[in-house]
Amino acid sequence: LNSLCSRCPAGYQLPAVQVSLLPLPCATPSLSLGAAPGSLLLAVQEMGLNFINISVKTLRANIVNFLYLFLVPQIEGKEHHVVSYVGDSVVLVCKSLKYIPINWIWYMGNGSDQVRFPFTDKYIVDEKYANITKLKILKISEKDDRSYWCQAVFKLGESKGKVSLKVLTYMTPLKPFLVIAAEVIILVAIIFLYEMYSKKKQMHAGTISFKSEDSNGVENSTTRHRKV
Amino acid sequence: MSPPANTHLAYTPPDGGWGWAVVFGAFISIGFSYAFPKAIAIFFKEIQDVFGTSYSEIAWVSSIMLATTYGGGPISSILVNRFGSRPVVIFGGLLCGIGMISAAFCTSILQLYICVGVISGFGLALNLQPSVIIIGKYFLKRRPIANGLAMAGSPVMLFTLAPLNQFLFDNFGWRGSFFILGAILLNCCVAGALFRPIGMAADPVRKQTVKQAEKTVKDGTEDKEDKDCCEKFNKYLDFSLFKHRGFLIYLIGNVLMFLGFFAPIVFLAPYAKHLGIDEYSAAFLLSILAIVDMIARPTTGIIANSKWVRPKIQYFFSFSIAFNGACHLLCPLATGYTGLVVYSVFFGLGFGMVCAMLFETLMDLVGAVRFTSAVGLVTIVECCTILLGPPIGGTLIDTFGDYKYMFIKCGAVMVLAGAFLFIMNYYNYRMLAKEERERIATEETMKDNKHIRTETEDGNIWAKEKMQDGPEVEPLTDEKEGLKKEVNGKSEV
Repeated sequence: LNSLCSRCPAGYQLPAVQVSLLPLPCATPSLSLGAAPGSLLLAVQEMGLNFINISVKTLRANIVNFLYLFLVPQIEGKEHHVVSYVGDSVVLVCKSLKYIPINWIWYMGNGSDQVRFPFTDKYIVDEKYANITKLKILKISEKDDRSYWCQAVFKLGESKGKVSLKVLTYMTPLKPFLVIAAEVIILVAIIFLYEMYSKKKQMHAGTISFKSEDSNGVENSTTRHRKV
Repeated sequence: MSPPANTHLAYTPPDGGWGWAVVFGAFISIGFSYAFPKAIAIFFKEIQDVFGTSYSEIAWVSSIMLATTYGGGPISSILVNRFGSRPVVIFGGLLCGIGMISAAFCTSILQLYICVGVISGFGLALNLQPSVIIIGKYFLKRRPIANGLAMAGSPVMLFTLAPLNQFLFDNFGWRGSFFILGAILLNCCVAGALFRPIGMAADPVRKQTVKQAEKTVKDGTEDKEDKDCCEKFNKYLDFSLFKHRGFLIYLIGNVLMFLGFFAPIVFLAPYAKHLGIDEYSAAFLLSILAIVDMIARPTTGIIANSKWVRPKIQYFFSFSIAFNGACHLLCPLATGYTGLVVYSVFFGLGFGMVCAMLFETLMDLVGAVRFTSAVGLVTIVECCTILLGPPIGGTLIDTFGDYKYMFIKCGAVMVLAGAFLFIMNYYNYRMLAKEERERIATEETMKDNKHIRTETEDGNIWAKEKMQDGPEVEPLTDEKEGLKKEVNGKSEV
């Protein structure tokens, strides 16, 4: 049972209540006068949590109108595409934030023609919690690079969320990897070359400056440590 | 010709020049070691879905990584004692890279534990300890500044890695991100390449004679030296540190402190959400913390290096721990977003202060040479309490349903640790001063000893430096005493 409570603006009384309701597809709301004077309690039965309300009050002479809009709740998919790789498995998640749908249906679609899911063993739907649905796709191939739609069925109606999957090959991250690895190798080479160069310069000059300490590699430090 | 005392560095650290390049390398290394386990949490949600595990199972990846990074300390110390910092860090960087690259091809959570947790974690351990050790070899006068700058790597890296990881995840998925992160971790090898080994070489003549002397000693006596196995093992990992008064004080105080150190960070965002603050503002609190932390660490380094603080740096350390504890104790009073922002600022300040001086104080107590073993022993003992801290906090929160008991527990533990360190270090300073007086008295009765000549030679070098750097005369005097204190640092309890 869920109820919406509206208050009359100050100064108004509710001597008589006339209710006109547009037919709702799934519920029969009942009205009752609230405990506090000047308030109207609208109890909506059998709808559970399946609505979002926007109440708009309009005043006209001695008539106060309360307007309630019942909306089908929005489904949260994912704005950014989900990335996965050929041969890997991925999980697509759709969430319904505050309201629990009766049912979830997954669609695969390219454009306007949407095909309802063939549930082979490539696709596993996991519904551990009623308001979250997870579609697990195994053994991804490049054909799976498309949008997927999750449809939540409420008593009031249905609403859809979209999750799009992007499939990459292993070549794609390889390029930045090689770039960074090359950068590392180049930097290490530069540092070692600079060290050898400055050591040679010092040996040629024949003086060891106080500030830059160079030793014969690791040998000296290990010897020193062993002595400790 | 052997160095006069075990804990005395047989050369004068350059305190600059190439040392700043070493600080930069340590900045990168330390940054990766601390920030990487935290930054990787961004991938957990996706991995959790793919492998079908619970959140606590996936959170173990971070815990195992942190445990290996700290637990691998002694092995790191042994390797540095044997090979020096540079090869160890380069090897560590390669290990991290290999760990993350193999993690990109994992098919189960157990494989992730091994690849990310153990292999990369151990690689980070081989990065962290040598970086801290080599700072002690390159700096003495300006060591607190160098330490503060190097430790600032942690918040800067975290600040960079978090959005970077998100970007990589959006564009390459978690597997591609791990692959690329493997390459990014190879940059630790670059940091390692900067860690030029440093030995003795104050002046050329001295260097020649010392090198010759060392060669003869090495060829002649080393192989024939008759050491029993304990003494030999002590060369690699100095267990005699457990008889060192300063080391024990540091160990007990820090172990106590770490029980309450990390839990507030872990629970700051959940606490904010619990108070009704939205997710982005809660995450912003952590950003504020990181920014204040970034500024606080080098600043603390500069303050700790000043002539008023450096001689009594242990007091400053105890004060910052107690300050941190006081922040946590006052946190439950903050009920709105503004209150939490103020708390985050002070928490960031306290956190930065403690972290900047964490290794500096240990170096100050045991001396740069024994620090290699000390840091390994300290990290493996701290490993247990670091891992226990957040779960204990979590249990408190679950039992009482209220976050304030966790903050009170953390605050109380840290204030206690700060007070303990303060009192014990007061006692330690007095004992060191007493031993110093006794040592000077015995020296004056043995003027013809060769050791004394060597020491006055060192004293002359210090005096020369004293004349060269004018404004730093007074800290030099204190540091000369400090150096001598380090000489006598192996005093028995």
